[in-house]
Amino acid sequence: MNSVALLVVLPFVGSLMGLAGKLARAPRFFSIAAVLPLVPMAGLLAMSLPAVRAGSVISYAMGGWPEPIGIVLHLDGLAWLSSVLIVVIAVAVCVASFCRTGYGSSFFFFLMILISGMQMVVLTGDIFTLFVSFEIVALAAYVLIAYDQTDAGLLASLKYLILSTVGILFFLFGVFLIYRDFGTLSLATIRTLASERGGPADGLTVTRSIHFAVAALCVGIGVRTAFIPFHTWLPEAHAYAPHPVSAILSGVVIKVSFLAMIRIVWTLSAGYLNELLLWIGAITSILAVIWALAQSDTKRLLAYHSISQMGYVLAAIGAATATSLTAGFSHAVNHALFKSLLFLVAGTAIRMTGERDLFRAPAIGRHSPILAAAFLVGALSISGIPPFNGFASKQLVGTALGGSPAYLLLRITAVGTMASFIKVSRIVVPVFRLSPRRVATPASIDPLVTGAVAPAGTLILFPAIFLALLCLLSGLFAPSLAAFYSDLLAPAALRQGSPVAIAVAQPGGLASLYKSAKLIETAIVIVAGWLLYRLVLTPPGKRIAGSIKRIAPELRTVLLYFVVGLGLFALFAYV
Amino acid sequence: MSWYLIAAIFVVGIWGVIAIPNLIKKVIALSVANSAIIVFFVYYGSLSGRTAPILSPDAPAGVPPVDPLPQALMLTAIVVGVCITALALALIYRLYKRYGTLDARTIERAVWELDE
Amino acid sequence: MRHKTDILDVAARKLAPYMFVFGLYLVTYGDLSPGGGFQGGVVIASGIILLAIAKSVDAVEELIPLRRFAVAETTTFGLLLAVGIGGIVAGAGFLADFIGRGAIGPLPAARFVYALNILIGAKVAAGASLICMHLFGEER
Repeated sequence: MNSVALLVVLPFVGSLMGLAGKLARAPRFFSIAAVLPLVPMAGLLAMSLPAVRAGSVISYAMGGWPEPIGIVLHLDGLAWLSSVLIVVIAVAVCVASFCRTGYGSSFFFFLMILISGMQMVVLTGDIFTLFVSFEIVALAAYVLIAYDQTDAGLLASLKYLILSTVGILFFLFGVFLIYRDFGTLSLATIRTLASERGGPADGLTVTRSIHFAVAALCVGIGVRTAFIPFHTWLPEAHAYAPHPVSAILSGVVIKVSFLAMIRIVWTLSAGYLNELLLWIGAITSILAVIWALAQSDTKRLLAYHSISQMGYVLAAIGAATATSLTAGFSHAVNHALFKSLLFLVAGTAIRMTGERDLFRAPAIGRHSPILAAAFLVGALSISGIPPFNGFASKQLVGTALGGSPAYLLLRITAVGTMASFIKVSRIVVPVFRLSPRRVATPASIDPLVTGAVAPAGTLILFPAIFLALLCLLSGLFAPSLAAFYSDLLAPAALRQGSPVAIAVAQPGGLASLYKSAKLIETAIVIVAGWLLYRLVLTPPGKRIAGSIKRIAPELRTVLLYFVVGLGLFALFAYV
Repeated sequence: MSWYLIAAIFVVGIWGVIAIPNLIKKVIALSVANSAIIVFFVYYGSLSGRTAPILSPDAPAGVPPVDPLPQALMLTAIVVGVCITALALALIYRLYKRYGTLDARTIERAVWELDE
Repeated sequence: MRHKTDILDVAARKLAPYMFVFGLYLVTYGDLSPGGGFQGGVVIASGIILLAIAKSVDAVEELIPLRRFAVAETTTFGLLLAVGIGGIVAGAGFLADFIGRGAIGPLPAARFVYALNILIGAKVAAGASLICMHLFGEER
């Protein structure tokens, strides 16, 4: 039973090492000691798999205080999978952070606090502890984004801070309304009370204040998950953070808050939000991809793709069909894998060449072919090319959405994703430099010629190869993995009061995924993506891209979006 | 009446964050909005009873004690708010040292190079 | 800090010890009456900050070196974790009371909460004053 508490406590022990390293003479030693607790965490998770797989929930009451009074952690299927995802990405990011010696042990202090906070978000069973853990995650994230103390990093961190604090105030207001109506904060108790009040279908949804509470909670979490009216902090924060931090922020931090939102929406049986989520997801994915296409900064482009891919996840969950949870979750996991990989390699490329602009940066393919190959694996995965994992999970999302008109938007998004990754791949492979209108670099200052490209370091290769292999393997074994996910998620969904029963998928072999129709569709996407890419590089395309790029919402406008978003969620409840 | 008053404080705080360009004042407005939420909880808690929730032999019988949970929660929320404020001020201080201004619009224009 | 009057100087020096005592009172009686580790720690820290504003950061650093604040913060963080894990070792769970309760007259004495309060008080006092000292110190 203690294993659940240790999942939260162990990263804190690690962070203590990071703090001690600031005072001690050997900061390097303490930095390594700080990340070591990830190993026993992985072991604990592996040990608890059989129990979780059997459908049982491992609960742990902090300090021995039971459910309505104390803080109780629950390790169910959903929490287990998210926890594993956090540990996997954290290991890769920590190894990558050792690659640059500039990060002192205080960096690892904040990294471990971030990981601990995320573990609390996925494990906690009551909404106030959820608020506290959100704030722990956020505080660590603000510091990490500003860690290099560049101007852009500081301002991005401040922008994130102001937006997400306003968001969390709405969340806290939602918590207040829930507490006023139910007199409890524990999700399990709310669930029981709700069913006592005559079933989730009518008992809960008629209360106006609960509608408003759900809207407020969704707005608060929406800022953390960055779907469209609330996304504006993400491109800056993820683009100007230190590279490993971008990887972990895009990889897990935005997903973890979304998983918390699924739990809340289910428990408060806010099934009426599903259609809104579906459309927000579809619109998010397509708008973000248009923005991404217009970017010329490598990391900003990747950051916009994080928003776009979260749109897929949101749309899949919002579709509320029997496979939607499995589809959404697999896409979230796969996105975590390939986006961390892309951020780590792109960050290393920027560190090597010292150039963020993808049109001016020299390709690193010749200097570090392994990194280039890893980047291509990530790019192929995110564009949904078989046999990588993005293909599999995008097909699953398609199945989950069924014939919904929102799927059309996602198909267009796929074309945009393809195009922008053809565009961004020029930072690793010179093959894509077909455009003759590229800014000609004089040979004397071309870093490739003068040899100014810094070495990549060998340590970065481990996380890159590790994540690239995971992308490939989770693509090859996608059907059995999907079955595994649904096996774990179904009991958790049932317990939380999911609006639809989660179908346990059967591993139908690879054949079910690689139908010829789907392969033809993929080929069409590739061709259309290439055409779109050429189109963006034509003079009118460049002009449009430039004007899109200039829509950089200032803080003031952004906060107005916010109020609009809250109104949208609240209105949808009444209709 | 009190509820509307607290809601007004919250709205004023949010308005301040949106409308005032001075970064320090934005943080103050954020704290005001945060306090409004805290007052929501504490005021609700204070309505639930009339005496301190202490289990002692000489507690007056028949008088309902207040619900201690909202106060305990808000203590945590206050601590979190203090952390956020401290961090925000530290960030603003750094930005101020570099740009010599607290105007959010000026700093944003300079950092994101909006005038290109 | 150029136009400083004697009034500020004298008032700060006379006021600070009282703030320390009041902070200590809040920390040590937190388990029985309103107060507690965080509140008491903040009061102690504000005493230190008052000294730093009225005199200077250097004057405070002469009194207590900044490094000692950092050491105190790290140590108390470690001790808090140790107390928490002690609960697991004792078989009661993380942060569970493994010391047991005593009694002061009619009131129960929560020794465990008392210990936690003192640790948290020390940590908050050290941490909060450290933040402010670093910010003030950057002026130099």
